Amino acid sequence: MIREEQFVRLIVRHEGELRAFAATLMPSRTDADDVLQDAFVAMWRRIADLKDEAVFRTWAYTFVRFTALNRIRKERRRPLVFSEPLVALLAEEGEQEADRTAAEIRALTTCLEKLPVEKRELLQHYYASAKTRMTDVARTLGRSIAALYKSLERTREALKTCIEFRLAEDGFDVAGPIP
Amino acid sequence: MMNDPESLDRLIDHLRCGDLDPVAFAAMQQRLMVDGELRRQYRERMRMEANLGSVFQADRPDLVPPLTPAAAFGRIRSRWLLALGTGLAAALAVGFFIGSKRGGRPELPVIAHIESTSEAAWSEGLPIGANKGLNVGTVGLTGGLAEIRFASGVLVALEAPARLELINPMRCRLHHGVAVFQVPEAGKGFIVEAPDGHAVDHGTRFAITVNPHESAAEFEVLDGQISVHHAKSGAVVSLLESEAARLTTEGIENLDALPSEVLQRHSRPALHRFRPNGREASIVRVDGSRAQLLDPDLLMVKKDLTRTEESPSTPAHYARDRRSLVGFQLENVNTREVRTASLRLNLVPTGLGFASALPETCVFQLYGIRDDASLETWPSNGLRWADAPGSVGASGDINANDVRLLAAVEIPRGRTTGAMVFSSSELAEFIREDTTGVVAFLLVRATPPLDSFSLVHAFAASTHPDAAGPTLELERAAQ
Repeated sequence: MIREEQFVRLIVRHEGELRAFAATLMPSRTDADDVLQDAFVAMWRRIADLKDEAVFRTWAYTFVRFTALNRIRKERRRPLVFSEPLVALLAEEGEQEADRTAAEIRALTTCLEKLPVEKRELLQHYYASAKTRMTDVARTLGRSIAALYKSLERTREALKTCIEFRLAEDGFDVAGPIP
Repeated sequence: MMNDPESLDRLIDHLRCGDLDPVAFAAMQQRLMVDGELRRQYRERMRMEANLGSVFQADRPDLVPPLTPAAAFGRIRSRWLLALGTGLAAALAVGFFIGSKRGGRPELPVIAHIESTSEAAWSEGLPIGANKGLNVGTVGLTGGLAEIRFASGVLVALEAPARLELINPMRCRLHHGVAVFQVPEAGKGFIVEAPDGHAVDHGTRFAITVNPHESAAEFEVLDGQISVHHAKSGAVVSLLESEAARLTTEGIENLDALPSEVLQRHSRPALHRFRPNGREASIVRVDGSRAQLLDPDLLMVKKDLTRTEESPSTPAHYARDRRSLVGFQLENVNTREVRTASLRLNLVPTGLGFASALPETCVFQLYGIRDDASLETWPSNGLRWADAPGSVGASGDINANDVRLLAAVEIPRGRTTGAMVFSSSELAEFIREDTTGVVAFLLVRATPPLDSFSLVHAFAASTHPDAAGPTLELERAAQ
């Protein structure tokens, strides 16, 4: 039997990767947050079903998956919500990438430290809130939207390269050539 | 454009902000359904989005539930209390189980379609949804053979009796029966569930036989590699070409000798199937320049009353006979070895005319077009009645110099669906005599109607969204 404190510890430990997993199912930032929160509520209610800490991650991924699917069924007429089969497919493949997801989070911390200050600042402005739009960032920084998108793309590309390099070191398959 | 990572990047930026154009969103969704590599890139990018949000987002809601009364007064208290106190969580928990039940919904996107059938009989309604494709659901095949193509490109040939559950473009479950899977590059990772485990494909062709009475599934790799997973123990066995394994409740057992006939049936096919690949046309006998509105999905046939038989009270009536042409390129087969031949067609309703204007039974005839390249090919658009092989000018007669009768089938007048198979020794002989590598046929309805406004029969063309198009099956002597 998993005690409540233990459960919270597990949630805290895996929150990042579960959040990343939810984001692959619900593209809107706020939707992904809502799904994750609802999934945690559902898990909390069924904590008695979790017998072994070792299976928590699989158990939690399943909750996120079905919470997302339930939400999609209810909101299928809403714009910009993926279809149920696509989300089921993304979830199924995403669950197989759980180890990789955790490794990406570890690598990101290191890779962010290597970024030039101005690139970090751009990320900070853009990702400061789920509601941030590029127009807001452009106004704050006094730059054009097109230039900011370009800059953002380059920054993410640099991060991706760095993350893949670290993943390859950890023995993960990576898509592109290693620099 | 979606293959361009920059383009995907930009689309995701708009998607995350909720201002992506719905048309672009629909196109993106469609591509994601069928492109495994794009889905991988998409997930990777979305995880980075979330991870950057976790690092930089200041207004991110907390997720840990309150454990103590003190914690319950934290900034997210209201949400947790609301959620737990109003039964939302209970609803979610119930919904979890409801949600895990798979069921077809008409408005769901299509995840597969029937590529072809041969004498197929279905035990239950097919989960046909939008655009006449197959949704999530189960298909039961009680007779014949059916080929189902998943949106991921994976092709499964199902042999009756069999029951297959379509779960998503990358996953299915074989409840019982025999199925041969062909997995293209885009379908790598395709999963086939069996009663005691599943197989993951690594780019290959493999056969599965599920015998529900023995509670066993046999996996045989015809080409490539698969991994077989035992659900209970977590054991995994990798199988290469010409290797086989049996999956039971107890575990996975490697099979030394390839046991089943499945492999023999599929590795050395004595049966060759051909599809027209667009070599199909309908012609209609109309006077003058009247528009020939022909549905490209239908191969229509109709024998009309001739002008002399017409009632004088219908002066506007023109004899609107309809015929269809279908051709096949015979590749990789020595036609001289052909022992039997059959042309399989599927009748589909046209909504044109009335069956009551027909006699009790209708005879359909299959003519072989003379082995002459100039007759066996025709323009893909705008073929006129008078120029078509088998026509005698604008008349409704058959030109015996161009074509010869090979087979005939009789059906009740009310039947507008189901398979129709032309098979005869004359048809086999016609194939054996071929010298051009192309064979072509003329399809006609021979039975004249009782009245002018008789039913127009039609066979599904290759492009038909629902029924399978024409298939020519040639059987050689077994190897």
